[in-house]
Amino acid sequence: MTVDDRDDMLDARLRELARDYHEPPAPPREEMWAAIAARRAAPRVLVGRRAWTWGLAAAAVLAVGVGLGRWSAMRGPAPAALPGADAPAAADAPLRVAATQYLTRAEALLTGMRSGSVPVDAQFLASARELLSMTRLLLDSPLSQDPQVRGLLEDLELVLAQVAQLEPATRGAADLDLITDGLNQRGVLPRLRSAIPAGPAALGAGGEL
Amino acid sequence: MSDEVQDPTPAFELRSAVDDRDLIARVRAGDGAAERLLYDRHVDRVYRLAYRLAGDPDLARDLTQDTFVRAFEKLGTFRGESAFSTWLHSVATSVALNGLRRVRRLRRYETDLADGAAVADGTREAEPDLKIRLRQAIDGLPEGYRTVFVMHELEGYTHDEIAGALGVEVGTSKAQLSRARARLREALADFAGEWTR
Repeated sequence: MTVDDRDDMLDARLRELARDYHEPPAPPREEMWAAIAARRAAPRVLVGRRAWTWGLAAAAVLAVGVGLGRWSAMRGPAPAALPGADAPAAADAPLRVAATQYLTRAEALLTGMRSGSVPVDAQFLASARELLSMTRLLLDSPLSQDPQVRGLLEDLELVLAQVAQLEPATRGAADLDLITDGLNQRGVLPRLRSAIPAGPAALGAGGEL
Repeated sequence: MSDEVQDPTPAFELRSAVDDRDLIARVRAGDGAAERLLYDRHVDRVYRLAYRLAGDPDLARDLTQDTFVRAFEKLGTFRGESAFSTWLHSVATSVALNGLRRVRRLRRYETDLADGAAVADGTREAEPDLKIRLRQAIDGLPEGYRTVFVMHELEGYTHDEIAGALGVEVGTSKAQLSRARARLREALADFAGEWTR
């Protein structure tokens, strides 16, 4: 038997053994379609990508404060920049980073909660409350003029408010199930992920930001 | 030995491209029922690929939903130069790979949150089971190798389809599959006796 023959035989056996790897169950067709249809039906008012960026970033800077806020103030009030499509890309890069961090943290927290891989402890609840405050700030910002963004933020506010009220010692599985059902039914996580660029190197090259 | 899997051609492949074009035209004209028909035709294969890559039902569902939302939004850019299924799978693989990269970042974040607590997978190292070792070896493949291996060996995509979906040359797909197999053979070398039973 040649080496090639042996490799071919091993490859065939490998393929056979690998069939169990992440073996898919039946697809939840109706559930997925309901979520797709809901997202497709959501009103889409295109305010513009840079407006999204500046609005969210401005709110993030208000919450994160200090350094970036000062930098932003030196350039004038943020709302004036909202409709602008002419701001130089380099100028809003730090703001996009701040906004991306907010969205990424929200996604991490909710994904961890849904998968059960993150303990609902004091640190988790503190993160949820901090993100809730940030979300409310964003809802008061010019950003919320975009119905799509407002819808996402309102859903996030609802979910985070529910999460923030969980008690680490007494939380019941039913509460978490209820929150998770709400997350799934409203497609919050996919919408959140859509709003986040693919990676630090690709900021501004993907997602809503 | 041929690189092509000998499994029967999925029914998906047998559907007429003409039908897809008709449905696409109806979707573009605002026909919601046509969207559903297009979804029904392709969702199983998209979901299977998402699940094979993600290994998680929630994530597979999210990735599948993202794929169709994006595909419907971008349908205007589909020019019919390739089969719709090829175009749709290029959207699906892009969505899945980007999504999985984010998940890897999230898992790092979760590990930080857990203050370095041991991950459940830690016990797998000591489990001398061939399939578990194989799963770990596939998980450990570089992204490109794993994607091609999963698409070709597990889901029966041809190299032409993989090349179209990933935007690479057919030769690249074949080379990555060959390297993936070699890595797996190497990773499972100490099980070689067990393999051929």
